[in-house]
Amino acid sequence: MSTLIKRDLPVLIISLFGLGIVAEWFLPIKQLTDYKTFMGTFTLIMGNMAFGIGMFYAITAELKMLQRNKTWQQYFITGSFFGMLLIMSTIIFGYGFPNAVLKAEYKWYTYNVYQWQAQAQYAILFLYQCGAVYRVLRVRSMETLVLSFCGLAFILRSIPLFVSYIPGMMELGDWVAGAPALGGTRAATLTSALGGLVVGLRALIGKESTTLEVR
Amino acid sequence: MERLRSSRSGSMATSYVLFIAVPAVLLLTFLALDFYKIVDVIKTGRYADLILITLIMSAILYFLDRVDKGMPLPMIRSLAAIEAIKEGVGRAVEMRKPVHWSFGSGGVTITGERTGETLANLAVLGYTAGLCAQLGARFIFHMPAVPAAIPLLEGVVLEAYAKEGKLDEFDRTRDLRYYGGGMMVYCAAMTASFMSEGVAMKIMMGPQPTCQYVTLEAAKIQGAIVIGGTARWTAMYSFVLTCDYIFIGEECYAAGAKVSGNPYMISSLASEEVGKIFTLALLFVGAVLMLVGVKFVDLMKN
Repeated sequence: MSTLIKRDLPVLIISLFGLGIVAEWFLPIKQLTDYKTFMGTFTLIMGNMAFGIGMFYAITAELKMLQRNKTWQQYFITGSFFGMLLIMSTIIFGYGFPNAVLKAEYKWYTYNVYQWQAQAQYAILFLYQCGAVYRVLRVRSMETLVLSFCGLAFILRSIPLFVSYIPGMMELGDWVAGAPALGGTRAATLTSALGGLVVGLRALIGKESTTLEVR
Repeated sequence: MERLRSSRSGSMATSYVLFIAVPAVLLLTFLALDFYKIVDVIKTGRYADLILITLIMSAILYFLDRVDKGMPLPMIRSLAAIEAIKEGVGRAVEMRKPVHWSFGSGGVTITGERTGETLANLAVLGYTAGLCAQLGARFIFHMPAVPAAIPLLEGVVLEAYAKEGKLDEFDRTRDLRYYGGGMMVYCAAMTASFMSEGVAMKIMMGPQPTCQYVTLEAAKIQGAIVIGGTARWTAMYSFVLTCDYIFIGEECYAAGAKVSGNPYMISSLASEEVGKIFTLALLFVGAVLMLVGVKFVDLMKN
C-alpha cells in the first residue's frame, strides 16, 4: 500500500477534522458547534462498529485457539465462551435491549455468577491494599519518613477517637490533605494536561509515531 | 564550517519569523480585535486557552523545524522506570520467566481526553515488546476489554517484533490474551497467569486504579519487578503503593517520546516546557494580583 493511502491521507483527515474541533473551542461560530456535535455522534457510531469488529475478532481467535489446542480444557473454555455468548444473545435479542437487563434471567446471571466473583476479587483487593500500604509507609529514607508522617496524620485525623483526644489532630490532617497534597495534585494534573495537549497536537500534525507506524 | 553556520543561522531566522513572530502577531491581532469589541472572534473566557495552545503549537513547529535542520535536540533526562524496563527484560531472560504487560481492563481509551495518554503508553508498549524480541524474553500481553483497541494494540506489538526481525517468534494466539468485559475477570485471569507461567516483570500503564491493585500486588508477591504509570491523578495512589518504579503524571508522555527514539517526538517535549513556563507565569501573576485585590479568576472567566 502506498504511503499516501497508508499514512498521509489518514493524517490529513485527522488534521482537518481535529482542527475543526479545536477551532470550535475558541470561535463563536454556530456551524462549528454543530459540526462538533455531528462529529461526536459519528465517533460513537465508529466506536460501536469497532466494538462489532472486536467481537468478530474475539470469536475467530477463540475458534483458532481450539483448532490449535484440542484439549478438554480448551473445549471447556471455548464452550463456555460460546455458551455464555449464546445465553446473553438469546436474552438480549429475545427481550430487546435495554429491557433485557431488567429480566430475571439476566439478573440471575449477574447476582449468582458474576457478582460473587467480583466480590471475591474486591476482598482480595482489600487485603492486598493493606499489605501495600504497610510496605510503602515503612520508614527507610527521608522521603518515606515524610510520607509516613503525612499518611499517619491523615489516617489518625479520620478516626474520631484520635480527633477527640489529641488536640490539633483534625487541623494537622486537614493541612496535610489541603496544602502539600493538594499542591502536588494540582501540579500533577496541570503537567499531565499539558503532556496530553502536546501529544494531541503532535497527532494532529502527523508527527506522533504511535499513530503512524502501526501496520 | 563557517558557511554551514551562516546558512543555519539564516534558516533559523526564517524559523523565528515563521513559528514565533507570525503566530504572535496573529494572536495579538485576534486578542486586540476581540478585547476592544471590534469583532467578536473569541469565545468568552478563552483568552488564556488560546494563548497557551498558540504558544505550544508554535513551540512544537519551531522545535520540529530545528530537527529538520539538524540542530541539536533538547536534552531529556533519563527516567529510572525506563532503565528498570531494560533491567527487567534482562532479568526475564535470566529467570526464563515472561514479561507481562497490561493496560488494565478499561485502561485504553481511544476517544476522549485520555487518548493522548494511550498514545504515549503505546510507545512504551512497543519499546518493551521490542526489547523482549531483541533479548529473547517471552512477552505476554493482557489486552484490555476495549475491542476497538485490539487491532491497534496487536499492531504495536507485532510491529515491535517485526522491527527486530523476529515476527515468527511471537505466538499471538498464546501470548495476546483477551478476557472480555469484566474487570474482576480480567484480574483473576491475569493473576492465574502469574501463578501458572511465572512473572519476571510486570508493567501496567493506564488510568484504571482498581484492577491495577490486584494484579500489580499479585506480581509483587510472585517476586516480579513491578513498573507502572498513569497520567490520571486519582489512579496514581495504586501505582505508588504497588510499584517498584513509576511514571508519574507527565512522565508517561515523556517516556513515550523518550523510548520511541523519534527525534520529532523528543523535540516536541520541549514545547511542553514552554506551556509549563506560561502556566507558572499565569499562576504567579494570578497570585500577585489576587493579593493586591484584583479578582483574577473572574477576570479570566470573562
